[in-house]
Amino acid sequence: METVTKQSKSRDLRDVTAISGIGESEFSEGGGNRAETLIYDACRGAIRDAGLEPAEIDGVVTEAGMMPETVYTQELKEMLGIQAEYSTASLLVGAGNVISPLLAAQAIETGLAEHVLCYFGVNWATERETMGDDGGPYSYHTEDEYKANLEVPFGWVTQPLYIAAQARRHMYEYGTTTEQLGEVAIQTRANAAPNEKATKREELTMDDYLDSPVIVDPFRILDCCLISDGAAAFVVSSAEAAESGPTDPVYVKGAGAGSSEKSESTYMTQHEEYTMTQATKSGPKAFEMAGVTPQDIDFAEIYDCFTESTIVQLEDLGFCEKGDGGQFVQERGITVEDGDLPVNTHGGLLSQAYILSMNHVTEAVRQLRGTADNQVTDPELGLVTGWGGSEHATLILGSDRS
Amino acid sequence: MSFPLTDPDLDDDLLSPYWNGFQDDEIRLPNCADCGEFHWYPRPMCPHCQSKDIEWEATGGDVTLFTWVKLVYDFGLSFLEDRVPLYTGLAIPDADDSIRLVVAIDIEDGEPQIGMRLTPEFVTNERGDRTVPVYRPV
Repeated sequence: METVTKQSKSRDLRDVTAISGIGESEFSEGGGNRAETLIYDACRGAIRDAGLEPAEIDGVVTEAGMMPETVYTQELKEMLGIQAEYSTASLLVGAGNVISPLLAAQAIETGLAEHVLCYFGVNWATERETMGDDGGPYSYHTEDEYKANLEVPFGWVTQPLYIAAQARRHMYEYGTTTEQLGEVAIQTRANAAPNEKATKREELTMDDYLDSPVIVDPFRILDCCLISDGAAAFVVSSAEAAESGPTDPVYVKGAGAGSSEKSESTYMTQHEEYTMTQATKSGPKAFEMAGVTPQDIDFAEIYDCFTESTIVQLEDLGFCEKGDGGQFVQERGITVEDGDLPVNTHGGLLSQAYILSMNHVTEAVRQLRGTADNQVTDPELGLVTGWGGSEHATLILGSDRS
Repeated sequence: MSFPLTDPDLDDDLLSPYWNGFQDDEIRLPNCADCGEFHWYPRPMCPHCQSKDIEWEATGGDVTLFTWVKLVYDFGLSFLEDRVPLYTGLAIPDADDSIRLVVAIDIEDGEPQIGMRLTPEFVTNERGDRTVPVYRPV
């Protein structure tokens, strides 16, 4: 008799649910948008795409750090005309969007809901235009008491700096090169070219990359993701309900989260395995639940806040050996057109929009439905990651039941 | 010298001892009186043994550089305006190799190198009312 482990129990959720609808707002680099209206656009789109009436949504799932401050759940339900009694949110910061399908699956499996709406949206591009030191993604640094006292006074400030420092160490430990960082930017941009919703679509050459301004050495502006206004949403339903809906169901096959021994405020400086992410923990859980290995994955939408982040997560998920991520991108390739493993088929956070992987989930669904602008040939399995400092999540979706 | 870029909150009991040490030209780090271990960032209890008996000990100050960056762009942040480019990094103090301190770095010739030995020099800020360590090659 097989021992029942925590992970073997999670296999019970494999293929129980599917994403039945997706929606996205317009993505932009600013212009006075309110985050809640972008979120409503995406939600309405997802509900419609699933072939449902708003009243049929009986659960909502989102992430707990940013969304409640952006739009009250009660207001969202009122605006959308939904009376979802089941509502929950994850505490995984930027990784939350990728674990939402698992929370939805648990609710559906236990009969707490039938159709769960998951949503996320930001207007950080608009905010950054108007709020100076106090708005957008940088305000977190000066507000956190530890950072304000122990980091900022000495020049250690902004996410690009944190990951540039990780890149420097990764170069030192493994020989990763500037050109390999450039390859991530160039190939991700190439994936954005056919995508009508990508913010940046014009081709990048290595000369373009190397000539672009250095912002925090070793990072250039092109090593950093966009700052965007945009929202995305999806509906998770039981597999049976999704199969009888108007779209091809995309099955939730596996999901997992990984957390660091260090808290969010200290993670970026004190984390012991400095050149690794918690993908080393979230990946195995997702693969176990899905019953697949990295070799089975046809494409991956990786949380590419920075070029370095794509490299490190490819290693940590087991697509290559630790330290070989740069070489993988450079020699095996990540473009849809001729890469060994298409990564960020829509242009990612780097070139499509920075919607914290919510847009990675919707792109993965399109790929598995066969409706993407930059379509991978007949994919069966797609992987998505989300990352927020000390927290990481991995999601595996598929076009068929196992 | 443009460091510190921002002022610390000296009313914070947990974090002000680090800054108060600078006024005495010392790098003080939190040490547990019960188990003798250092920890970082400062916590209300020792994370190793949960004791609340924490004492800030003066340490030698010398560090080994773990990683570094050159901040070139000011990100539209007022406290970076006209103060970039600057070097900053993470360094491991001789006192405890499980700790990484954020260090402001001053290098006259060339660039910082991982593995470089640095030592703090205590300098006065622009306003003349605060001392801050800036790390230089030994």
